Amino acid sequence: MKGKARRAAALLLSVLMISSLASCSQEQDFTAGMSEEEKAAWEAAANDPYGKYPELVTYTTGYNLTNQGSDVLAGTPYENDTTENNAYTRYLKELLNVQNENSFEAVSGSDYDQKVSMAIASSTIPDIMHVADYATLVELVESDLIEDLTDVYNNLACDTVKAAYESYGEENNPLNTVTFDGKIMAIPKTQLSDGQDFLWLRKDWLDKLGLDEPSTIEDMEKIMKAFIEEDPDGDGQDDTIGMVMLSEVYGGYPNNTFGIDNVFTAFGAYPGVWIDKDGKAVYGSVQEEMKEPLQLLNRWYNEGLIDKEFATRTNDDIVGLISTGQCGAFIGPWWAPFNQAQTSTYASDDAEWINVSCPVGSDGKLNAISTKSYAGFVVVRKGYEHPELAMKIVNVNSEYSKQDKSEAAQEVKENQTLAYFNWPLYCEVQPGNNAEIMTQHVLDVMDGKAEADSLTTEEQSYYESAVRYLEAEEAGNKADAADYSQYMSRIVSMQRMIDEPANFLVPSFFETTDSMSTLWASLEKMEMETVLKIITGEQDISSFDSFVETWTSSGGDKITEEVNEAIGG
Amino acid sequence: MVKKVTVGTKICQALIWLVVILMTLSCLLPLVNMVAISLSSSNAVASNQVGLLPVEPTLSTYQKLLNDTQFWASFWISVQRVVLGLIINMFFVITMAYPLSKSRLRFPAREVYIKIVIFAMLFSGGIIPLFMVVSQLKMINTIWALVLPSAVPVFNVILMVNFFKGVPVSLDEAASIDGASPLTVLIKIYLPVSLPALATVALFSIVYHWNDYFSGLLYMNKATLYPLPTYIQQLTVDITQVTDAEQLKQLATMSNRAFNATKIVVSTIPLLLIYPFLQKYFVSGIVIGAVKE
Repeated sequence: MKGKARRAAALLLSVLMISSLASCSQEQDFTAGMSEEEKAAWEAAANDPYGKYPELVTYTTGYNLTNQGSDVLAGTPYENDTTENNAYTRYLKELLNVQNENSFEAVSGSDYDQKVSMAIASSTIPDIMHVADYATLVELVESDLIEDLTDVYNNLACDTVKAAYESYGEENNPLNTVTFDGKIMAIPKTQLSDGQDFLWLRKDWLDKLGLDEPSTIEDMEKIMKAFIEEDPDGDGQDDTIGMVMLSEVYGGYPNNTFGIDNVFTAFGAYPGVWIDKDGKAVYGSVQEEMKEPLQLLNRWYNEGLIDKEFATRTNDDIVGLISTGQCGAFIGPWWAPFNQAQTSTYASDDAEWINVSCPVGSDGKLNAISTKSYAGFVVVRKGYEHPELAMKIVNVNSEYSKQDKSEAAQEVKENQTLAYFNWPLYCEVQPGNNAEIMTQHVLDVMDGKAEADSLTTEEQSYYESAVRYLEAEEAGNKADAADYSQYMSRIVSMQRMIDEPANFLVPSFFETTDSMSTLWASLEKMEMETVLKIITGEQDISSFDSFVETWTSSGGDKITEEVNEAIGG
Repeated sequence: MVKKVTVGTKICQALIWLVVILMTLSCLLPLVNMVAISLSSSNAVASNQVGLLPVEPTLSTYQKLLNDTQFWASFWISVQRVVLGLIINMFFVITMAYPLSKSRLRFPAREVYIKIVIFAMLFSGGIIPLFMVVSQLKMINTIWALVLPSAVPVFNVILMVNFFKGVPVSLDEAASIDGASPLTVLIKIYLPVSLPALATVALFSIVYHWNDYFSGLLYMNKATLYPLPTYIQQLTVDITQVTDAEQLKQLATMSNRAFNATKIVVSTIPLLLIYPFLQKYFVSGIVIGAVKE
């Protein structure tokens, strides 16, 4: 009986293995049976950064959806567009004669990542796809599922792409991350530098109370005090909050609007990131420097300068507080004007928002934290007959489409502000400070130093928004919310970013290590609890030392070791 | 003495009422809030002013929803899924529970099957093997991927087995003596007296198929093929999980909670309609009185 069962199991297993082998059989050479002439045409197309293929090439891919829902394009001429037939795919078809066929679609983030891991598990990865995280890339390389792209990159990458990668400097070049044993295994998508966080203030309130723009931590305190005591909204009631903040306090710099990392960095503390200390990587949240800002926040909390209920507020609650005019100060990135908190106060309350570099560190500049230089990778399935296609699409995305002023590119330009993410590969390669560069170009045109047609298509859309905003304001009307957001972030706030550079700290490690998967969650929880308890005064500042001790002994030391190993090796 | 008991009973009654009311409110209030949000202007919603009553009431989101083709496409997929899933589930539950409810004398291998069923309820292969099976059977992107992997809801089978066991054996015997085949006994005797249990099981299965978003996410590779719950899940993806700056900038402009609330409200309507309809059966179909001993 037992022997029989075992034999049956063995048989079943071998059947499974054979069938899985069969599914990854060799591909036929697509040039077989072609005339010399045809072969030459295909060859030429494959070796030209923008070469058009002689016949339509259909590639399978994974498609990043955004949760913009189907209504974003509703009411525009593009409302019947699909993920396989939209402005970008039509443009690519026209230009390169290629068409995407989506093996899977999902919202970027965990849903998309899950689809990718399912595809890997069932060994059915699409011809070209975008993978979001480094661990997946390593897995793909180690299981030999993806094509070596070294030649493709060297032969075909356009100048914009090459220059963009180089702009990150030798140490931080995104290509380093995708190079395994000297081979380039993927095309990295660049992460734009998000710049520094600013203190966003209601200028109309400042003017009303006769206050100057703040810069130091003391100035900031003075303003918050005035905001709660001197009735800035003028309704005769004591109902305003000094500054709102996230319940997580800090983290994810600078993507967390309402996070107050800057208060910590002003004191030289860098919570939530791995920093270099005497040549060794250490975790910023457990350093001595944390104590001073924590004590300060505790005092602010007791005096009511920061939101008394911050620990229980959701993001929506915070937006609500600002939209209803109960709060006029928060810390956020340069694109904060896109937040509904600002657009709604602009429309209903005549609010005038400004971003100031505050609180500054000891040298009078903001201390900020750099982001990593890469944000995802484009990989090509091993054995795919047109591996160069991935590079060509990235070229079009990053360079050609921006300079193309033809009729075909017009659609792309219009969609840029509507449905940016409809690009089939979602991989744009830009220099780190691209946002600043673009603003500089737009400013030059606005100042009359350059002609409008010198702008790229993307810059043009920002320029047009700015013009529309200024015209509406001049006529005494309220501008469209989208134009307001574009103008305020791309022009006003970005100008401040160019004029007032910050000190940037480059964290020494961005990825995760083995032990983190089991230990990190509880360590983070411990950290968060301690920080919240100290700020709200439930625990004394002296409890910080015992927290550091427990943190170290419950796995922090092991992870620190692993991080140092990862950097060294 | 009597008075004391009355006071005690009254306090007990009051406490019971209190607890029941609190529980009801905790279920009801979020729903009311959702309806209120769906009927409010999007500005009022964004500034968090909406509680239990609509602020600046408007039906604009409902008008907008009528034109949302993907919502209705997903709605239709969900309807198909529920109908198909219900038929398949009920067929398997009934045909499996009936023999398993027989005594060991009539069905000697019963214990083995019960153990297999319970084992399958407690342990599963995990997502990846499941996905591979479904994809090897070429069910990806078809409605079958949504209904076949959950064709046999084991918990419901056990529920049904226990209910069938409670049906008096004499009913079965009487019918058999009159010449009824086992199938006739099932259809003519067991099913009519089991209506409450069948209604319960059917409800479970409808609710499961209507609410389950995960299989849609897993097995459907095109957003146009998503069933309704998956479509709605996509709308409420947690913005705080998005780590890309460009993405955040886009999302910040797209927060449309009023419209999303409308979609959620409309998607709950079918279930709200089905509940009272099935509730009727919970009280009827009682076995008492079918046999006199």
